[in-house]
Amino acid sequence: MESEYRELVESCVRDDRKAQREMYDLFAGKMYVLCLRYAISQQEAEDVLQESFIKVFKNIKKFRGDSRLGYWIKRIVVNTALNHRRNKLYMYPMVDVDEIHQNVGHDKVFSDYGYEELLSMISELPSGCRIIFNLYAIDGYGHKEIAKKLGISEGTSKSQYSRAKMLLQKKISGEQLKDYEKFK
Amino acid sequence: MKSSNNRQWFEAYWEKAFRNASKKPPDAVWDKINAELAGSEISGYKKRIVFFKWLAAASVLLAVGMGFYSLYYDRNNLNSESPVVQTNIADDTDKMDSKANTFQSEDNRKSRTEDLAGKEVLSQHDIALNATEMTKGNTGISDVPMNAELLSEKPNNTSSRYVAENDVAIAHNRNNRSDAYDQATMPGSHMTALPESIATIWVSSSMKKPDLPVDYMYKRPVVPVNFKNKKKKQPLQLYAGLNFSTGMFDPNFEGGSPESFNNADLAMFSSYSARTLNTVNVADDAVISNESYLPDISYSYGINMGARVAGRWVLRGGVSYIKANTIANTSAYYQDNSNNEKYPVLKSVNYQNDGVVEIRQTEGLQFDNTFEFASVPIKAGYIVLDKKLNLTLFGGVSSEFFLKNTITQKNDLTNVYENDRGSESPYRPVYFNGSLSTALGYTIAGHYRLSVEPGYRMALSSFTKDSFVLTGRPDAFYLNFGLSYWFK
Repeated sequence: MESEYRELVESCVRDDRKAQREMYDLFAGKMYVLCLRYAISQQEAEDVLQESFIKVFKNIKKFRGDSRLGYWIKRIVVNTALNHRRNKLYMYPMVDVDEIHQNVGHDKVFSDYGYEELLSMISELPSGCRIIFNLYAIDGYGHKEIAKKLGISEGTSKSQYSRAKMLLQKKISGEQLKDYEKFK
Repeated sequence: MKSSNNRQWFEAYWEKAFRNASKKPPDAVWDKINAELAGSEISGYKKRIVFFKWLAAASVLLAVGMGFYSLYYDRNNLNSESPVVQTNIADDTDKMDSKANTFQSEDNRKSRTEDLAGKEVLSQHDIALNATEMTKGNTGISDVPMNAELLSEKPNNTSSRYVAENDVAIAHNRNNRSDAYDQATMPGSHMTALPESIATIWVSSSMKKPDLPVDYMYKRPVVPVNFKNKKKKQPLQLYAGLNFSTGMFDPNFEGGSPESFNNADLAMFSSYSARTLNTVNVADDAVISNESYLPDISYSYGINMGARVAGRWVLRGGVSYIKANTIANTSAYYQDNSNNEKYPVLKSVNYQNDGVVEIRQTEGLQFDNTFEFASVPIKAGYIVLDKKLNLTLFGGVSSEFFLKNTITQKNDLTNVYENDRGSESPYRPVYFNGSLSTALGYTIAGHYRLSVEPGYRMALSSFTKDSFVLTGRPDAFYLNFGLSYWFK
């Protein structure tokens, strides 16, 4: 277990509310952004965050310290977000699409965007491919793991990811073009 | 390859963009988390209380069930309790001399014949006569009913006169009774032995309970030898033991209201004159302290002595040390800036300080609020089941002598605060409890008894002083484990 969090975790195991608040203050900010990436609204993100931290505090005794505390909490938040969205996930088409090759050539044009602008772009993605994009591109899950988590085929995961990537690149290209025309 | 590089760059960019992204969530999120965690704690406590309630209810049901079983068993097992009990009729009574029956009056015979023919209920005449008819001897006269068992054991002792036990043989089969009666009472006939299978009978509860057998020669009741001594006085049984109990102690505080403090209106001084704070600053514009209390697991241990005083009644007394835990919640604390001492804002904390004190608000401060008592109980018990496995219902009262109240914050944010027995204490030096319990015991090696005793204890008087703003009548569900030694 990370020595810096050892006492904090032990206090949380004893249901010490002050320690729980301290842990919340340490990780809630990052986890809130994570929730905003998966949720379709701010309200839903708050609900997921609340539910996640309650799970964290109720299960903190299971944290063995074999992984980083932040990573352990992140996995709980991701799983909670997926559970929250699971019913709504399949309202959107989740079928294989043709492989979309990244030949748009605008890969490096959005290097100066801040996370809030990128978050805004993600939130405009269709729900199904937004989740897969989040899992694969940002949270580091492989397609095999995503397929298992969401109960879909690996091919579907890959194609949905490609679709998300294409939509994002188009979005960025469009933004760049607008900026360029404004500048001109 | 290029495509692969593009992908890696693409994902790396997004991952990096969000790696340290952070945004403060609204405060309402923590408030909801805090409320839900507090709710689940309360739910946990409630579950524990429910466990003890069910335990108490189950033990009462068990006691009632075993009580009914015990009563039913005792009523039917009359061979050891009732004055009308069975005996065996020997097979070798075939030589019973009919002369022995010649003293029977004609009236008696008629009466018995009618009775045997028309009723299931045997009269005391039948009982006396049946025994008398079985008298084996050459005297021809017997002034007491004979014990048929003795006859069978001593078939040749024809001259002995035997004194009947309480127990008199009764033939339950009407035909057999009639045959036996006819043969035994008709002059010149011999009594025929009754089959052993029907010789021993149970007397049903509907049968009329006979009085003493009657000596038909002298028309006076026959007093069996041990009849008067049937209800033997039991010797006083003393016992001493150790006990340990655990349970949920709920202080049941009532009254009071949330305390509010602000620099403009320090209402606390009018409400809580016991506090002598020289200078007070309220950290925020206003501080509101909500306090609440939850039951928690408590335990006690002690010694007890008792005696079986009469029949199934026992008395028990002793002395125990009780450590009763509760959880106190508050949302504010005092801080002495001169020495950095901190104490919770609770109504039972009579904080006194001459320095500058600051009152601060914080979320979810939780304290172990522990009461220590010396308990002197006295209980009366009724033994429902008195076997190796035994069951006793107890009721009683106890005096709880207050020793100390300690308020400790779980992670040592605040200093430990104590209320002792002094005049400043908000708690009475002594208060009284009433209790009900059921003890299930098991006797080992004749002298030792292990027992489990679930019960409920409730205050008969408040354990807080009248001057204190809160009133508390504590109650507790508990489970007592005991080991006692019975002196016999």
